[in-house]
Amino acid sequence: MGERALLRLLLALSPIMVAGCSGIDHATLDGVTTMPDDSMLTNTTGRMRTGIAAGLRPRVWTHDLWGTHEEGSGGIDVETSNAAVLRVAHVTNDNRYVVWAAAPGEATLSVTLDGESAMRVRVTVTDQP
Amino acid sequence: MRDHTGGLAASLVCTAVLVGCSSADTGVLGNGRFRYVCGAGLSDLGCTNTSDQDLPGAIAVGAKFQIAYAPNSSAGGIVEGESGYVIVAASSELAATTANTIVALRPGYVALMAEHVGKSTVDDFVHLKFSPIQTLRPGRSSLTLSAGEERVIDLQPLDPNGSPLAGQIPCQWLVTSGAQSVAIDENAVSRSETVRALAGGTATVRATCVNATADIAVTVSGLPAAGGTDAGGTDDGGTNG
Repeated sequence: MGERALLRLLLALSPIMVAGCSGIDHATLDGVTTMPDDSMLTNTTGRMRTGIAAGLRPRVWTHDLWGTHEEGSGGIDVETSNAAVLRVAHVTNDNRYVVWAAAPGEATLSVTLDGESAMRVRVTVTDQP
Repeated sequence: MRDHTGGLAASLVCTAVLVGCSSADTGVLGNGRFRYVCGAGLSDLGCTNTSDQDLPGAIAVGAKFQIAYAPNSSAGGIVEGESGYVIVAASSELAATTANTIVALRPGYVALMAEHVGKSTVDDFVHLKFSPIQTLRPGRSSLTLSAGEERVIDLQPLDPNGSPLAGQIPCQWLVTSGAQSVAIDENAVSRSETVRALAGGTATVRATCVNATADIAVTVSGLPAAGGTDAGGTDDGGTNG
């Protein structure tokens, strides 16, 4: 194979190579607001009392051949696996979300980027003491 | 614009744009301000008049109350006349919400959220504390009246730490002894009741608000009711349950 042929092959494969080396790097729940009791919500786990709410800003970073970059809020979403236990709503005209514990049980809070999962946090909701 | 004088007509749905608000009742997200609606006036211990006031420290379990929300003028670009906000509780296990009123159902903290009508988004939220009524403290533990005189008894609901609780609490009033000497409106349902002295003797008026009880001893000077002897009442009013 000549040099020109090898160059053509590399050029043809470059989108695949770039795609293979890019993707979601990590995500965080930023600026989780203070809760009035022992409820807590971190990047790895959550424990909330029924009736408690928290505000937060999801952040997602992706990586590619050129490094790691924080994504804009446009394609980021926050979802719950069980709305009867944990509910989520977007803050009006803002890139923050409100998460609140509606009833005892368990739910997974997911941060997605363009529909792709970037982070999952298991949240346990228990009754107030 | 919300009606500040219309009692229960004051709505949780408001479109007011507030300018120059204090930080005392600012929502957790800093997008607006929550206020305690006092349209019912003094029947709510959280109110000193009928104007909207700062959020109370705690609200009695079993009480009803109203909350209003107004966004910061710079937060959401909401203009008067656009669809407003409705206050919803984070959990129906702790608070029941109807169009205008919230009822505290269980002790604990509950987030009340200002949902933007028509957008399904939350503008801001605040946590309120619900506490059980531990004690009903009468303004007077005993009354001495002359026949024909009237006096109002007020009750102060207190939490287990002795702190006053806000909210309109439902109360039942009964004359448990000495009915010849005093009369009350047994249909009254608030924390205040008017006692009318009929004839000389002693009587006991009992108030039951949610799960707490208070007895108020009443002594009426003057001639006893004709043909009857007074059953007598306890003299140690203010017994609370």
